[in-house]
Order: sequence, then C-alpha cells, then structure tokens
Amino acid sequence: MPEYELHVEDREVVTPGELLAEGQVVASDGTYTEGDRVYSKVTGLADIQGRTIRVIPLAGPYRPTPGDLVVGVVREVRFSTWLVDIRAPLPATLHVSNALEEEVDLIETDLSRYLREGDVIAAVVKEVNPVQQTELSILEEDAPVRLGRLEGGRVVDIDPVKVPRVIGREGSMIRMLKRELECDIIVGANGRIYVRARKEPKSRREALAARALREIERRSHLKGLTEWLRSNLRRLARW
Amino acid sequence: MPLDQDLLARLKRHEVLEALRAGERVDGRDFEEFRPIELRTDVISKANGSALIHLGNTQLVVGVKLEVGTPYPDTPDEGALAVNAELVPLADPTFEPGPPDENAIELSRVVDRGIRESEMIDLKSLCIQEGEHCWVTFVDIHVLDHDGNLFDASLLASVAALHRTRVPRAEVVDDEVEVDETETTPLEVRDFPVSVTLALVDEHLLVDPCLDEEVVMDARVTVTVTEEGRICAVQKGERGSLPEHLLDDAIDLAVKKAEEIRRVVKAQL
Amino acid sequence: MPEEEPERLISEDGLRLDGRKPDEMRPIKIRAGVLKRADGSAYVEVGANRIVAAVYGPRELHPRHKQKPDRAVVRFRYNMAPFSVDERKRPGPDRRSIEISKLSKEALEPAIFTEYYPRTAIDIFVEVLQADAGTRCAGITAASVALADAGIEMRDLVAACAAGKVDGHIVLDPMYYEDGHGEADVPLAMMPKEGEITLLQMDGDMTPEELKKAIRLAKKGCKIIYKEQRRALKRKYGEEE
Repeated sequence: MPEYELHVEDREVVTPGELLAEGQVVASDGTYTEGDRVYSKVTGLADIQGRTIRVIPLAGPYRPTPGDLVVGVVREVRFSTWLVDIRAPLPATLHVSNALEEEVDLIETDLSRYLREGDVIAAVVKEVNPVQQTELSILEEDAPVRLGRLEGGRVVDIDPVKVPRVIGREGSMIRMLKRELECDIIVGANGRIYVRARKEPKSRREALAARALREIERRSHLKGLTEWLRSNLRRLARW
Repeated sequence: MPLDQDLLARLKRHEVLEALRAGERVDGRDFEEFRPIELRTDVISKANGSALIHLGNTQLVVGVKLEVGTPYPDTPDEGALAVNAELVPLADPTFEPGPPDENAIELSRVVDRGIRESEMIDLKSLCIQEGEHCWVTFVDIHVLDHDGNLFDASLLASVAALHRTRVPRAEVVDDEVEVDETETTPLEVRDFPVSVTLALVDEHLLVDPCLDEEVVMDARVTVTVTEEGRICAVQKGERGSLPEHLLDDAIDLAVKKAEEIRRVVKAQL
Repeated sequence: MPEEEPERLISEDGLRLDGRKPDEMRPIKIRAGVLKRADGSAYVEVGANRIVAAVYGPRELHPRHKQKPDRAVVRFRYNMAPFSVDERKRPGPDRRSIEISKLSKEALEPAIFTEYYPRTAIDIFVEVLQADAGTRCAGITAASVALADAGIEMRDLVAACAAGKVDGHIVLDPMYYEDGHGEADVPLAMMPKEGEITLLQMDGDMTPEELKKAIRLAKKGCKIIYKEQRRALKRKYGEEE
C-alpha cells in the first residue's frame, strides 16, 4: 500500500503555493506537483475524495471547457465567423459551419443577416486548442437547451466560480427560481445567465430574478440558501 | 521587421544550453571570463570628459557635460549628478526611437547608483556658491552596438569618463556665474566603482553575458563594488527568480571579478 | 518622526527610533478583495504605508502585435498619489516609478503560470496613497495578494520586504527616517515556498558579509509577510488560519 500524507483538510481554504499532500495521491484540477508534493495553484477550497485531491477555485476567469453550455454576446461579424464574448480571457469564434445547417455563399452573404453584433446566444463550447482559441457551436443536437439567438429577456453576469451554487444540488436552486418566478433561465457555465419571464409582469419578474441571482452570488457560502431565498421570493413576488 | 525577441530566444536557447551542458559558453569563454575590454578616453572634445568602450562587440560612448545650475534645496552646498542612457536604434534592431523606455531607464539608474553610492565624486567640490550656483554633472550614455551587458560597459565608460573630466573655472561676479573654459582642473574623484553582471542561465552564473546569453537568461544580477571591495549597489532583473543558494556565490564572484576588471581598465586610463 | 536630528538611530540598548528591535518588522495589515470592479485587489499597510493594488485580466491584449503566442504579458504600473509624500509629488510616471514598475513586474512574473493565458494581458496597478519607506516592497506584497484574489494560477505568492543598514547595524524593514539617514537599503522579494528571490536591489555602502546578512534578514521578513498574505486571502472566505 503506497503511503501518502495530507497537509490540509477537506473544504479548507487554501492559497497558491500551499502544500496540500505528499506521496501517492492523484493531483487534479487547481493543483501542481513537484516530485511527489502537491501544491495548490489557486485560492480555493481543497476537495479531497479518497486519494484524489483538487482545489475548487473561489475566484477567477472563466476557462472554457469542451461541452460547456455558455451564454455569449456577438462582438463582431467577420467573413466566415462571428466573434463572441463568452467572458473568457479571449473571445470565442463561431464558424458558419457550426451555426447554419444550410450551405451559404460567403461571397454573396453578409453574415449579420443571421446574427449581428449585440445578439445574445446560447452555445456549446466545441473545442479549445492549446493556445486557448475557443470554437463554439449552435448546432449540437443533444444540448440541454435550444441553442442560438436568445430574444427578449435579460442577461445577468455573475462570478463564474459561483455557477454551481446557482444551479444548486442536482439543479434544486435553479428549479426553484424557475418555478417561483415563472421564468425561463439559462445558466451559462461562463457565469452569464439569461432570464426571460413567461408571464406578466415580465420586467418585474425578470428584475426579481436578477436580484435573486445576485443574492446567490453574494451569499454563496451560506447553508440553507435555497430555502432562505424561496421564502424571500414568496414575500417579494406579489404582482 | 526585426525578429521577435521571444522567437530569437527560442532559437538561441537550445544552442546556449547545449554549450553549457558541455561546460562551455556559446562564444567559447569560461563561465567566469569577461570579454576583452578596450577603452579610449577623451574621444569627444566638446565634452568635459568622455570615453569609448568596447566590451567584446558591445560598444558605447559616454560623454560628461558640466553645466551651471542651482543646487537642490536639501543639499545647498553640493553639485548635482544626472545619468541618462539612450538606446538608439542604430545599436540594435529592436531599439526604437522615442523617449527612454523602461530598459534605458533601468540602465541609467543602475549606473547612477554605482556613481552616487560609491561617492566617487565629491559633490561638495561641485558647489560654486552655496544655495545659489553649482555644477550639474550630466553623464550621457550612448549605446552604439549592443552585444550584451550594457550595464557593466556603461558604468566602466562612465567612471573612466569621470576620471578624465575637467572642471572649468567658475567665478561669481555680480551674482552671475562666469565660466572660463580655457582654465580647467581635474574633477575630484576618489573611487573606481565597477559593476559585475551575472546572467543566470539554467542554474549557471555567467560573468559578462553576451547578447545570445542575455536573450535566453532567466535572471540577471548586477553587483557594483568599490575599490575597497565594498558593495554599493545591487540589482536583480528579468523575469526569472534566483535560487537561494546561488546568491551568496554571485556576491563573492562579483567581488572577485570586479577587482580583475578594475585592473584591466585602470591600465588603459 | 523626530523633530530634532537624533544623534544616533540605534540606542545603547539596541532599540531603534520607533522602539523596534533591529530584527523587528513594523505592524502589517493586509486585506484581500477591497475593490468591486477589479478582478482582484488588495490593501496593505506596513507602518504608515497605505497601498492599494488591483488586477485586471487575464484579458485580451491590444494592440495585437504585443500579444505573446505562448503566454500572458504581465504589465505593472506603480504610481504615487500626489499627496502621498511630504512635498507634493508631480502626478504621472517619473524615472523612479518606471524602474520600480519594471522590477515589480519581473518580481511577480516567476510566480504566475503565464503559459496558461496565451495572447492575454494581466494588468497590475499599484497606487501608493501614503509612503513611509518600503513602498515598492509593500506594492509587490499587495499585488501578489491581488493576483491570488483574481483567481490567477500561481506557483506561490510573492512576499517582499526590505532590510537596511543603520548606524552600522543591519535592521529589518527600515522606516522613513532610517531609509533617509541610514547607510544602505536592500529591498527583496521572494517566493517563500522555495526561497527563490525575485527582486533584489541595494544601494548604499555595505561589505559583502553585511549584504549577505541583510539578505537573510529581509528573507525572514518576507516569511512573516507571507503568513499575513495567506491569512488575508483565507479571511476573505471566512476562514482564519
């Protein structure tokens, strides 16, 4: 049985350069190794599952990962691509072949016919190359939501590291919000959230959803957040 | 378009590291060997003192100009010193015209500290009238050919030029300073500071790095040593870090090499 | 500070003008995450120094030709507020602040995994609101906490602290008066995990042995600061070490 020693506890806040473990452990996300020593490379929560140790960042930019559902904003229309802001350090590209089912003659077609600057889209991260160039797609069939342009509604940006809290355990938080406020909500892994009310008064419902999302962001460390928010929403949601 | 420094570094790195692994430097020198130094003084007759230095292929001129100015309020009985470096585009394809960039400013400030902190110039001797008039010593470094280690070449040439600087006679007549350029006395100098720059490449300390070594070095340390073997300035530069155990070695090595370099240069003054 | 010129900076019983022992630091206070807009931020007090640092990025670098295909470009701006010193400082960069900015950037870069963020810029801004000697070190200390607060991936934090020579004694963390009247100043930054030195300067007069002693003392100071940096980051998330 190989030996190992842990230097931090599960769920402990750790900082860059902090020694997490020594010996035969599996060093995962948010860590780096030197010999058989494992260190944290971010400020975050140590997460220890058996011999696997990782650090869940408590802050930081969105790092695109293939398969992520993201909410983006079209920044620029180019010859054969759209440049899309997804709140990552660099903009992503959406190539026409990943956006349109039909063939288009690029010489003849102005792509802003389909998507123009300022449009909000739901997309899936298709590929990230080693130099962080990110390719999006809006043609993925098994996507959890309808991809492409999102009309009406509003967009709320929160800290990307808080996204899991917005979703909640097995989606409990987001289900509660959708039900209480009767809104469609798409949570991008990039911390950009699209909200559209299904019923009047639409703008008040959406405003309240935005407030609720910010509360989750601010109080993400609290236990029992879903219940606390539910009772507050019931009090506030009197149309 | 000059080749990007980073691209150049990647191409050179292999070559430099190969040589180091074989116990050699890319230009055939020993790790502690500095390049040949050739010094000529009094090369600019318009200046009050000047020197041209060749350190290997690196070549630069330093001119010292004295101008009458006003003492700083907090040092009314002292003259002033101002060091400036220009990395002009003729010296290197990556140098750009325009005001001094951070590299030129760092260079001039490291040279300035070598001169100032060694107290090689008696600034009091540059006072003409207390609180009113003094000599301002402008040391201008003009790089002509950049093949690495501008720091050491610049300080050597500056110190040599200062050793050859002559101060015109100045007299205060009716609150005005009258300068007689025909009658001069040597500037009072009382030390000979020498800086030794070491490049850290792959855990090796290399004395007097050439440009090929500079573009691949992880870090640079410059230690400035007085004639008595005391240290008057230190500067670490570049993006890498310096392992703890190498720092003491770097200090000792610099002190040793400074003495050798000083001997070589003094023989040419 | 003393109204009259004191005759000596170290008393007979070995104490300094502010009552500190030679190897004692000034009080330190560090807070992480003090600004809303910045991606990361920190506030540092060392003695009477008051310093705020902010980090923006990694973000797309413009103009494009300044991008590095294999890493982020780190930019650092050290700036002193006009009211931060006794005599009003003329606003804007001077030669001193340009040099400090360059060296501070070089002091932090070894700690950052810049290779994770190709073609981007990481911008670090340090504002000195009040200066009391050792501002470049306090600025690096603050910037390092701000980088970690921004969630940027790093090998280690960078802690910085100066040592000096005063009345022939090697002292830790010189304050304003000692800096102005002492014989030498040795600012130093390091990554404490491995003891790697990322900033070193010295000006003044020292023997080689004194310089080595000052370096050792400054490193001791960095280790104290390192603890405070980590505490500040943990405190932000409600956890004291």
